[in-house]
Amino acid sequence: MSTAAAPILRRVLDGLYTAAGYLAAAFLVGIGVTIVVQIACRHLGITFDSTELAGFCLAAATFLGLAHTFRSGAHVRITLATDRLPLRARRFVEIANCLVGSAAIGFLAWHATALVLQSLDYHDVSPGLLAIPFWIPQAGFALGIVLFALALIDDLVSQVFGAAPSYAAGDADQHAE
Amino acid sequence: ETHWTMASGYPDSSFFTQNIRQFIEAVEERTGGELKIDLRANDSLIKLDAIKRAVQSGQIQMGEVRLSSYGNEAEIFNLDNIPGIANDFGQAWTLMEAQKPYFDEMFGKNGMAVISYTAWPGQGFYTDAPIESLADLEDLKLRIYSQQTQKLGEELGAEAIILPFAEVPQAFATNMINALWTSAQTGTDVQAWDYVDTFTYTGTMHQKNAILVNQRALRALPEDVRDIVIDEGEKATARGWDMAKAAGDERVEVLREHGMTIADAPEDVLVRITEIGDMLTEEWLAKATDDEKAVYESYKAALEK
Amino acid sequence: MDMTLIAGLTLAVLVSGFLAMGVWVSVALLAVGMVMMQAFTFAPMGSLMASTLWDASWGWALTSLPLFVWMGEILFRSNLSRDMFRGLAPWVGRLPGGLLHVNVLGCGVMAAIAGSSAVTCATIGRMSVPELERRGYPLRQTIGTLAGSGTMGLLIPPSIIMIVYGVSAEQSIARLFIAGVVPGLALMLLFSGYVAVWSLLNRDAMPDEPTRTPLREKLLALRSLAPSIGLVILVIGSIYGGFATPTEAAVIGVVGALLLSGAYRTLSWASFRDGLMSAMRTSCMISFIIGAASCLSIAVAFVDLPRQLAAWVGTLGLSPMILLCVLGVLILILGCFLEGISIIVLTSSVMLPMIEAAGIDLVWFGIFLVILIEAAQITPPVGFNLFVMQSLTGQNILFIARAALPYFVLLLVLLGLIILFPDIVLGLPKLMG
Ligand code: NA
Ligand code: NA
Repeated sequence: MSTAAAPILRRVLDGLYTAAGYLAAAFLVGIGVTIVVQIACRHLGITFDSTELAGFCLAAATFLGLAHTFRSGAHVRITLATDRLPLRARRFVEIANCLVGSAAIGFLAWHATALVLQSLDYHDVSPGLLAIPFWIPQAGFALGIVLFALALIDDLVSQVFGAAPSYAAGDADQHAE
Repeated sequence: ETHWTMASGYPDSSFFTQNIRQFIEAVEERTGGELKIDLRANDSLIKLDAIKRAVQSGQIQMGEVRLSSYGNEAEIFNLDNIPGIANDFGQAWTLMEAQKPYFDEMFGKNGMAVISYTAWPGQGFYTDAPIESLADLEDLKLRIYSQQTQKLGEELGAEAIILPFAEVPQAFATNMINALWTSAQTGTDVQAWDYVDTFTYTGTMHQKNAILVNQRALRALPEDVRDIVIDEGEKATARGWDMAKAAGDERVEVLREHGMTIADAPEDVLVRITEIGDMLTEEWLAKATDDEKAVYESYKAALEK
Repeated sequence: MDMTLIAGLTLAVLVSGFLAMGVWVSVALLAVGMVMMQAFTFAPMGSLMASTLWDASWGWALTSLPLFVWMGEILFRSNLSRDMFRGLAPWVGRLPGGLLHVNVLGCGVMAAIAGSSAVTCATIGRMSVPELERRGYPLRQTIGTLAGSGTMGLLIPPSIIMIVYGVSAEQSIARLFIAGVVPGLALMLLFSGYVAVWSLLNRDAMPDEPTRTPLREKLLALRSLAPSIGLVILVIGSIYGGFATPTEAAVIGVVGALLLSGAYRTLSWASFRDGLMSAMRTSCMISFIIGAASCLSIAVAFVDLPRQLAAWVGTLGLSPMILLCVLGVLILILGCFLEGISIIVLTSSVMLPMIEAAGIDLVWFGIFLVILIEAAQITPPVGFNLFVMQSLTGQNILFIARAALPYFVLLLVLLGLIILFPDIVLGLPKLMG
């Protein structure tokens, strides 16, 4: 992109994806910590049920990591056909992929956000011993999907303006250009 | 012609599902196929705990829920989850009638209608050694599944261990637990005879399942169809109580066929459960709202009669 | 049947089309689910997609996946995997098939710890792929053995899918677990046997392992095996000693791996962070595919595709043997597009009464089904072990599917064996009484 604001925007967006990625990793550690606490409590005779909490950490680790994982090229896909295409056609297909992704994940982001608001509205509470309001873990779920949608749209726009895909590094075969 | 989707969480062989099937058949027959209900049992469409929200939000028109799953949302849901509160099917029926107006209003406010209730058969202990007195419960590693059952277990002197259902078989095999507190229905579901030899029935804790309908969907029905749905719902409630009794007995027979010893709980255990129940009821009353307390009072008053 | 046929074809075309285009697997499954539900049902699609994805994402049973993946990353970054292969090389290096057997054996051991196929494949693969590559083993055989043996996570107890089947079919989970043991061991023999025969026929493709080692050196080499054996004993011991549940045991594995990595002096802040971030990316990728697959399943469930197909098989009035074959083919076809647990949940209400009526033992059928679902893990376009291997090796999915093909065939051979000799499955449960 050519505008002066672009590098700043670029840095902000990249920072956002990476920060969410580190947060996701922290929640992965969180799964382990809650389970360690649960085992310890059981052997001390204290009832502590971490099954829900561990599950919520898992969801946060999965969804907050989506955008970072996407840009690292770690979401698997089949590049068999695209790799055999001439450069121009490949660019076109790649943009089409980003379009499909932006549409599907953008749509999902909208409804994931609606789900959070609905849980708030319904006062839905988790059934386990800890009784956590569902909107809290769902907020991480929705935020992660929103960021993923943002990352897809980001790539769509960049590629339309001629940039190379941000996620190509992890694909099966490097593009020979 | 209207098509509804209904979700439930129990397998086809469970009496809950069979009761729903009979309800659906009756509705379809009496409405001349005007209302068709597609039942998706056994968590196959929506997971049990998520069914209430699915009905509330209109994702599906109908669903069966286990009311005590929502104990964290309002105390009323915990009432039938207190041991000793209803000690037989008759008392469970009286409790249901006392709760009904409250549930009608509460679910109504949230855009749902309750058209039917079914009680669970009473619960008991699954253990290796027979339980002849309170002392036999001491130091059991008892698998429990909720706050109330946790208190029950601890107050009885057992070690209360909370575990997800899926971990139960392995936990038995590795001696992490050696006893269960549940109904004959769930006992046969997990094939308890693979792990333990005795089922000691206490008769208490008849929790309830309820059939919920999305109110907008219900209102959208022609009046005669709607009346049939409501009427068949009431019939399903009556039938559900009978089926629960029969299923309780039948499941006990299944346990017996597989070589388990069936026993009634000794007097001192029952007395202790009642004491714990009284204590839990006190705690419940301290947390309940005035309206919820009124439900309890009216239940007590009805029992006196 | 007409609508079912159209819906089925649409499903196949859309999944294959999006995947061939290069759309990310998870995104493709989601998008196809959205299109299917919008086109073929009146259900509120957007809200169902969001709530289904949420409900599928926080299950307790899934929490062991990121932990085991993390354990694999830590071990890969320590010297444990190198030591393990160094210790094993003098012992199995000269057998036909050499160190490829480590994949089969390693997956067998991992399968006794983890309840899923992707976890088994990812954890062992993370350690063995770089080692085998370094030692010059043909990549295709490495991938094949891992993708194939990883599926044993479902058959060797504990197994999430057996629990789901046990509840649906009202069969004892303990009995199903026991019933999976002998077929699991038989499968290991089949896989190892194939590896041996293949390497005898393709001596040129196999690396030269060192010449005969003296016994003294062999015994010395065992020392390098001690850490890995210790870790396995720690994790399995924590489960069978009643200290931790199978799901919890994953965390024991992580703690053990961190301690070992400390002992090897390979634990630095940088290696900790890299391992963790890499585990997060892999687990994010797999978990999101699992969630997306649930969304596709729910769409297909609303369309009622699997149940209709199973019901249609029921109308054919087949003899038990033919019924088994037709159901097997049906499940393999569904298995190309849907995830295993959903297949069982969505078809069981129709399929199980048919099986019971045909007089087939339900425990035996459970194992039959699990083996079919195992095969589905390595059939394209939607096969979890294929995705895991792609992420580990960077090879394209068709290459991986071709590499795994012999193991797919061996799974079918196992199916034939349990049909001919049902006691492979039922022997141990019978002993239980
Ligand atoms: Na396993
Ligand atoms: Na497949």
